[in-house]
Amino acid sequence: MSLKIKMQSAKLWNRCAMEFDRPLACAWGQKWREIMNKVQREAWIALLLVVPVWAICGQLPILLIYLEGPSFLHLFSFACATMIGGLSWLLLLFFNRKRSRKAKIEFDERDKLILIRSTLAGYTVLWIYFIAACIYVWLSVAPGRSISVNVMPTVIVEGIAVFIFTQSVTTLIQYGRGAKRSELKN
Amino acid sequence: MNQTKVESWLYFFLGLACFLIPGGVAVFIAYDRGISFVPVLMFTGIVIWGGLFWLFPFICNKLRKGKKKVDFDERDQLIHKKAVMAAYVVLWLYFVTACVIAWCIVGPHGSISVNVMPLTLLGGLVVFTTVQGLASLIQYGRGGKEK
Repeated sequence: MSLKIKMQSAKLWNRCAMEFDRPLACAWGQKWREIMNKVQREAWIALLLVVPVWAICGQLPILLIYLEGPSFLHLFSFACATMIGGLSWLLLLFFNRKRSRKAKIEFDERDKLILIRSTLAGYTVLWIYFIAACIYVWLSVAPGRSISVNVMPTVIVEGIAVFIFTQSVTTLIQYGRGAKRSELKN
Repeated sequence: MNQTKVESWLYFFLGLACFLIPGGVAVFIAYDRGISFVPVLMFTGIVIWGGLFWLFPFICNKLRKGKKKVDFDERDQLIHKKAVMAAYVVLWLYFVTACVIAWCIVGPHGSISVNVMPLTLLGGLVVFTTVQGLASLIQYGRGGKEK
């Protein structure tokens, strides 16, 4: 009797989970996958998560070096983080090309073209940002005076946030709203 | 040699002189006589012009779209884009290296002259121009368009 009750309750639990929990958990993911392709999802994640996290946490190595002095490990971690941040598109291009060669093509020529265009747009805005930062420092401090050496890495770290932001926005603009649905129809 | 290849050679040789000398002069004027409108405008103009000059062929191509003669075709566009991407990669590495070197030399509590920043930017422009010109020439190879 108790076994029957247990089985029934388990069935009920499963049904509840099917009715309420799973749709809530999966519906978002499924909707995401229906509406957007992988690159678009990555762009949204970069825009909403990576940019703010990078803008805040990117200063951490600079603070560490300022407090504890420049050690090899700190400088190396800073150099690696900035290189990966600024050249992440290269990794994206490499891995997606490798994956598309294997079997499932999720990254075709159009995606590649969009990635290249958005990267160029990102670099263009980054260049303008560097010029603006440089001119601002030059104007605010007289040319004969000096500034803290930490200004340079700070400008570079914030430059990465600017680059990722621009790249993500340009990617999303290029894909438009109904990218994947129109692809499926075709 | 096609037009783009000639431009690459010009860019490679004249880029250094066209951007480095006037930019350096602007920084020197600002350092010697104090900050004023003219050197700042001169410097800004040079770095914007030099850094975004790669957009020029694309704009020209769009404006010339209706005409029959095509000087800048798809292959040229692809080569140009690849060269610009390579130049930007090297430029980024240059900025990170410059930053780490300054940190190592001065120390995190030290200070640098404010003129280091515009000079670093000018150096970046020279690196960008040189790498772009080199990458274009390498991609075109020896024979260029005639092949």
